[in-house]
Amino acid sequence: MPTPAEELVDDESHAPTQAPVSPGSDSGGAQSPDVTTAGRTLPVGTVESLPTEFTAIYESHSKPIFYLCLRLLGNAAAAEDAAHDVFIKAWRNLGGFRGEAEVRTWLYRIALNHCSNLRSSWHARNVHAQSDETVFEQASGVADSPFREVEMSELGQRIQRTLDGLPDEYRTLLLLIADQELSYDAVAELTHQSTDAVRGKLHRARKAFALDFKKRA
Amino acid sequence: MNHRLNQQTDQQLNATQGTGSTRRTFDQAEEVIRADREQTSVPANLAAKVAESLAQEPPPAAKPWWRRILG
Repeated sequence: MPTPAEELVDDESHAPTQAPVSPGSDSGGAQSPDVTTAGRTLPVGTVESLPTEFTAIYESHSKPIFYLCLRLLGNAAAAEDAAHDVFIKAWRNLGGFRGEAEVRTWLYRIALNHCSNLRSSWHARNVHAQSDETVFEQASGVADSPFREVEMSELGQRIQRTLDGLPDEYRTLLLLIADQELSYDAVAELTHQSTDAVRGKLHRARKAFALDFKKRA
Repeated sequence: MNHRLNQQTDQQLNATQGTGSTRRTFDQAEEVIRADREQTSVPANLAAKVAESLAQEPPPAAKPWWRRILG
């Protein structure tokens, strides 16, 4: 029986099992002015306080990783903890990263696995109405564009409600495809399906999103 | 091009009307999500939390010798 920490380790990782990530212990309480890592003393509180070899990774990918976690989990605090965990796992497995995938794809894989586990345990404790996928698939299209004159100040909430109403697969596909740094092939690899399947499902996912987004206006 | 012009016009209209709101028009779902991502900020203290946790971690394991050779 694997431990939760083992279950959350991504496909690319081959590092020995270590202590579970515990973001809760990071928040609150007094922080010391400096931290020490691998014999180095680093100032706390800025990106510069990260290990040098990790700073570029964090700076380039923290926003997309946080955003993916935010929209998959629907909660800013949970997303912050999840993004934290993703970067800790990435650090632990940095030596095992083979460079066969782009760093962004690798980090997304860790984030998807992590959020999937969090969502699974959450769903096990909470009853939710299922989205009616057939309704989305039967939708012939949206006559008036639902994306016209979108109020930006309410965009985050509206998108979250829309994504929450979609099947998991559609939600994940749309979030990944929205990242222009990811190719269709990379999305296919991340979602364990063929590129053709991604294209087909994406068409239905767009339609479902548009239909639901319009209802949330 | 038309899409971009529409966005600019919409934004200018809202700005001049002084409503305090900003409206934009998009073509498809990905664009809406992308715009949402752009206006979403990473929590300011996330980097500090990551750095603090990394301070308690050993350095990342080096690549195994066979992987360095075989790639």
